[in-house]
Amino acid sequence: MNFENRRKKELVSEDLSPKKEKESFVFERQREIMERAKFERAQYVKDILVSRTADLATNFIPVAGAAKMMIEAAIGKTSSKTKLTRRERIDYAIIAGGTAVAYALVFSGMPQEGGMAQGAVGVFGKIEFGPMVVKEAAEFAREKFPAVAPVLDAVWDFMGKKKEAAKRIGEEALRTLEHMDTRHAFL
Amino acid sequence: MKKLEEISDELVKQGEDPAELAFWEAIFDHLTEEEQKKILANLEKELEELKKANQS
Repeated sequence: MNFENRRKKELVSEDLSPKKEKESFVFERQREIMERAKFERAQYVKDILVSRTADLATNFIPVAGAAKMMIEAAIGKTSSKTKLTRRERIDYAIIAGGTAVAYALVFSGMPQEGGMAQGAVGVFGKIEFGPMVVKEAAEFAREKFPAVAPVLDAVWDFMGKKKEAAKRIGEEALRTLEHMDTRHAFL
Repeated sequence: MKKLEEISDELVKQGEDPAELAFWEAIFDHLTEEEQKKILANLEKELEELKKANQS
Protein backbone atom coordinates (compact mmCIF):
# COMPACT_ATOMS: atom_id res chain seq x y z
CA MET A 1 0.00 0.00 0.00
CA ASN A 2 1.54 3.31 -0.97
CA PHE A 3 1.85 6.39 1.21
CA GLU A 4 -1.33 8.13 -0.07
CA ASN A 5 -3.55 5.06 0.41
CA ARG A 6 -2.15 4.29 3.83
CA ARG A 7 -2.66 7.91 4.82
CA LYS A 8 -6.29 7.90 3.64
CA LYS A 9 -6.92 4.70 5.57
CA GLU A 10 -5.35 6.23 8.62
CA LEU A 11 -7.48 9.36 8.39
CA VAL A 12 -10.77 7.44 8.38
CA SER A 13 -9.78 5.51 11.44
CA GLU A 14 -11.02 7.02 14.69
CA ASP A 15 -9.36 4.43 16.87
CA LEU A 16 -5.74 5.47 17.39
CA SER A 17 -4.05 2.73 19.38
CA PRO A 18 -0.44 3.50 20.47
CA LYS A 19 0.79 1.52 17.46
CA LYS A 20 -1.47 3.43 15.09
CA GLU A 21 -0.52 6.68 16.74
CA LYS A 22 3.14 5.93 16.06
CA GLU A 23 2.31 5.02 12.46
CA SER A 24 0.36 8.23 12.11
CA PHE A 25 3.36 10.19 13.36
CA VAL A 26 5.61 8.44 10.83
CA PHE A 27 3.16 9.17 7.97
CA GLU A 28 2.99 12.81 8.97
CA ARG A 29 6.78 12.99 9.07
CA GLN A 30 6.98 11.34 5.62
CA ARG A 31 4.47 13.82 4.25
CA GLU A 32 6.52 16.74 5.56
CA ILE A 33 9.73 15.35 4.05
CA MET A 34 8.09 14.82 0.65
CA GLU A 35 6.47 18.25 0.62
CA ARG A 36 9.72 20.02 1.48
CA ALA A 37 11.64 18.16 -1.23
CA LYS A 38 8.89 18.77 -3.80
CA PHE A 39 8.75 22.46 -2.97
CA GLU A 40 12.48 22.73 -3.72
CA ARG A 41 12.09 20.77 -6.97
CA ALA A 42 9.28 23.08 -8.12
CA GLN A 43 11.81 25.92 -7.94
CA TYR A 44 14.27 23.84 -10.00
CA VAL A 45 11.59 23.33 -12.67
CA LYS A 46 11.05 27.08 -12.84
CA ASP A 47 14.81 27.76 -13.04
CA ILE A 48 15.24 25.13 -15.76
CA LEU A 49 12.38 26.49 -17.87
CA VAL A 50 13.51 30.09 -17.48
CA SER A 51 17.11 29.22 -18.36
CA ARG A 52 15.95 27.31 -21.46
CA THR A 53 14.15 30.39 -22.73
CA ALA A 54 17.61 31.96 -22.98
CA ASP A 55 18.04 29.56 -25.89
CA LEU A 56 15.18 31.38 -27.60
CA ALA A 57 17.03 34.66 -27.18
CA THR A 58 19.74 33.64 -29.64
CA ASN A 59 17.10 33.51 -32.36
CA PHE A 60 14.20 35.60 -31.22
CA ILE A 61 14.83 38.04 -28.40
CA PRO A 62 11.29 39.43 -27.90
CA VAL A 63 9.78 35.97 -27.35
CA ALA A 64 12.51 35.07 -24.87
CA GLY A 65 11.51 38.02 -22.71
CA ALA A 66 7.82 37.15 -22.99
CA ALA A 67 8.47 33.47 -22.23
CA LYS A 68 10.31 34.36 -19.04
CA MET A 69 7.47 36.64 -17.96
CA MET A 70 4.92 33.96 -18.83
CA ILE A 71 6.68 31.28 -16.79
CA GLU A 72 6.95 33.58 -13.79
CA ALA A 73 3.27 34.52 -14.10
CA ALA A 74 2.01 31.00 -14.74
CA ILE A 75 3.88 29.53 -11.79
CA GLY A 76 3.51 32.44 -9.41
CA LYS A 77 -0.16 32.02 -8.63
CA THR A 78 -3.31 30.56 -10.07
CA SER A 79 -5.78 32.89 -11.78
CA SER A 80 -8.39 32.07 -9.12
CA LYS A 81 -5.80 32.84 -6.39
CA THR A 82 -6.12 29.26 -5.16
CA LYS A 83 -3.46 28.53 -2.59
CA LEU A 84 -1.42 25.59 -3.75
CA THR A 85 -0.15 23.00 -1.31
CA ARG A 86 3.56 22.33 -1.45
CA ARG A 87 2.72 18.93 -2.91
CA GLU A 88 0.63 20.43 -5.74
CA ARG A 89 3.22 23.06 -6.54
CA ILE A 90 5.51 20.70 -8.44
CA ASP A 91 2.65 19.55 -10.72
CA TYR A 92 1.71 23.18 -11.24
CA ALA A 93 5.31 24.19 -12.03
CA ILE A 94 5.73 21.45 -14.64
CA ILE A 95 2.33 21.87 -16.33
CA ALA A 96 1.88 25.66 -16.11
CA GLY A 97 5.54 26.41 -16.81
CA GLY A 98 5.63 23.99 -19.75
CA THR A 99 2.41 25.46 -21.12
CA ALA A 100 3.89 28.98 -20.90
CA VAL A 101 7.01 27.95 -22.82
CA ALA A 102 4.88 26.14 -25.42
CA TYR A 103 2.74 29.22 -26.00
CA ALA A 104 5.81 31.44 -26.34
CA LEU A 105 7.21 29.05 -28.94
CA VAL A 106 3.96 28.86 -30.87
CA PHE A 107 3.83 32.64 -30.78
CA SER A 108 7.34 32.86 -32.22
CA GLY A 109 6.08 31.02 -35.31
CA MET A 110 3.15 33.41 -35.77
CA PRO A 111 2.98 36.61 -37.80
CA GLN A 112 4.31 39.30 -35.47
CA GLU A 113 1.99 42.20 -36.21
CA GLY A 114 -0.92 40.89 -34.14
CA GLY A 115 1.24 39.94 -31.18
CA MET A 116 3.05 43.24 -30.99
CA ALA A 117 -0.13 45.25 -31.18
CA GLN A 118 -2.34 43.21 -28.90
CA GLY A 119 -0.07 41.55 -26.34
CA ALA A 120 -1.00 38.29 -24.66
CA VAL A 121 -4.76 38.58 -25.10
CA GLY A 122 -4.42 38.95 -28.85
CA VAL A 123 -1.83 36.20 -29.10
CA PHE A 124 -3.55 33.51 -27.04
CA GLY A 125 -6.89 34.17 -28.67
CA LYS A 126 -5.33 32.89 -31.87
CA ILE A 127 -3.92 29.68 -30.41
CA GLU A 128 -6.21 26.78 -29.72
CA PHE A 129 -5.74 25.73 -26.12
CA GLY A 130 -4.91 22.17 -25.15
CA PRO A 131 -2.07 19.84 -24.23
CA MET A 132 -1.47 19.33 -27.96
CA VAL A 133 0.06 22.81 -27.99
CA VAL A 134 2.88 21.44 -25.80
CA LYS A 135 3.45 18.56 -28.22
CA GLU A 136 3.34 20.86 -31.24
CA ALA A 137 5.75 23.28 -29.55
CA ALA A 138 8.17 20.40 -28.81
CA GLU A 139 8.13 19.43 -32.50
CA PHE A 140 8.59 23.04 -33.54
CA ALA A 141 11.48 23.45 -31.08
CA ARG A 142 13.37 20.30 -32.08
CA GLU A 143 15.46 21.92 -34.82
CA LYS A 144 15.56 25.55 -33.81
CA PHE A 145 15.69 25.27 -30.01
CA PRO A 146 17.19 21.87 -29.15
CA ALA A 147 17.56 22.66 -25.43
CA VAL A 148 13.83 23.31 -25.06
CA ALA A 149 12.45 20.33 -27.01
CA PRO A 150 13.33 17.48 -24.59
CA VAL A 151 11.92 19.42 -21.65
CA LEU A 152 8.62 19.96 -23.50
CA ASP A 153 8.55 16.26 -24.46
CA ALA A 154 8.81 15.40 -20.76
CA VAL A 155 6.09 17.94 -19.88
CA TRP A 156 3.82 16.40 -22.53
CA ASP A 157 4.44 12.91 -21.10
CA PHE A 158 3.78 14.17 -17.56
CA MET A 159 0.50 15.79 -18.66
CA GLY A 160 -0.58 12.49 -20.22
CA LYS A 161 -0.09 10.74 -16.90
CA LYS A 162 -1.93 13.46 -14.99
CA LYS A 163 -4.82 14.19 -17.33
CA GLU A 164 -7.17 15.65 -14.72
CA ALA A 165 -4.55 17.92 -13.17
CA ALA A 166 -3.23 18.86 -16.61
CA LYS A 167 -6.68 20.02 -17.74
CA ARG A 168 -7.28 22.05 -14.58
CA ILE A 169 -3.79 23.54 -14.29
CA GLY A 170 -3.44 24.16 -18.03
CA GLU A 171 -6.69 26.12 -18.12
CA GLU A 172 -5.65 28.05 -14.99
CA ALA A 173 -2.28 28.87 -16.53
CA LEU A 174 -3.90 30.02 -19.73
CA ARG A 175 -6.26 32.34 -17.85
CA THR A 176 -3.26 33.79 -15.99
CA LEU A 177 -1.38 34.27 -19.26
CA GLU A 178 -4.37 35.89 -20.93
CA HIS A 179 -4.47 38.55 -18.24
CA MET A 180 -0.79 39.35 -18.62
CA ASP A 181 0.15 42.54 -20.35
CA THR A 182 3.11 41.33 -22.38
CA ARG A 183 2.97 44.06 -25.01
CA HIS A 184 6.30 45.54 -24.00
CA ALA A 185 7.91 42.08 -23.85
CA PHE A 186 6.83 41.36 -27.40
CA LEU A 187 8.09 44.67 -28.71
CA MET B 1 21.52 8.43 -14.95
CA LYS B 2 21.80 4.98 -13.41
CA LYS B 3 22.07 6.57 -10.00
CA LEU B 4 18.93 8.63 -10.64
CA GLU B 5 16.99 5.53 -11.74
CA GLU B 6 18.04 3.68 -8.59
CA ILE B 7 17.02 6.57 -6.34
CA SER B 8 13.72 6.99 -8.22
CA ASP B 9 12.87 3.30 -7.83
CA GLU B 10 13.49 3.52 -4.11
CA LEU B 11 11.50 6.74 -3.77
CA VAL B 12 8.51 5.19 -5.56
CA LYS B 13 8.63 2.34 -3.03
CA GLN B 14 8.52 5.02 -0.32
CA GLY B 15 5.35 6.48 -1.85
CA GLU B 16 6.73 9.20 -4.13
CA ASP B 17 4.94 10.18 -7.32
CA PRO B 18 6.17 7.97 -10.20
CA ALA B 19 4.99 10.48 -12.83
CA GLU B 20 7.12 13.27 -11.38
CA LEU B 21 10.16 11.03 -11.06
CA ALA B 22 9.71 9.90 -14.69
CA PHE B 23 9.75 13.60 -15.64
CA TRP B 24 13.16 14.05 -14.01
CA GLU B 25 14.51 10.86 -15.60
CA ALA B 26 13.34 12.07 -19.02
CA ILE B 27 15.10 15.43 -18.81
CA PHE B 28 18.13 14.41 -16.74
CA ASP B 29 20.54 13.86 -19.65
CA HIS B 30 19.57 17.27 -21.05
CA LEU B 31 20.36 19.15 -17.85
CA THR B 32 23.62 20.95 -17.12
CA GLU B 33 26.05 19.30 -14.73
CA GLU B 34 25.07 21.75 -12.02
CA GLU B 35 21.35 21.11 -12.52
CA GLN B 36 21.97 17.35 -12.42
CA LYS B 37 23.87 17.69 -9.14
CA LYS B 38 21.07 19.76 -7.61
CA ILE B 39 18.29 17.34 -8.49
CA LEU B 40 20.32 14.29 -7.44
CA ALA B 41 21.16 15.91 -4.10
CA ASN B 42 17.50 16.80 -3.52
CA LEU B 43 16.25 13.28 -4.28
CA GLU B 44 19.03 11.59 -2.32
CA LYS B 45 18.30 13.74 0.71
CA GLU B 46 14.56 12.98 0.47
CA LEU B 47 15.22 9.25 0.24
CA GLU B 48 17.62 9.33 3.18
CA GLU B 49 15.13 11.26 5.33
CA LEU B 50 12.23 8.98 4.38
CA LYS B 51 14.25 5.92 5.32
CA LYS B 52 15.16 7.48 8.64
CA ALA B 53 11.50 8.37 9.30
CA ASN B 54 10.53 4.76 8.61
CA GLN B 55 13.10 3.47 11.06
CA SER B 56 12.06 5.80 13.86
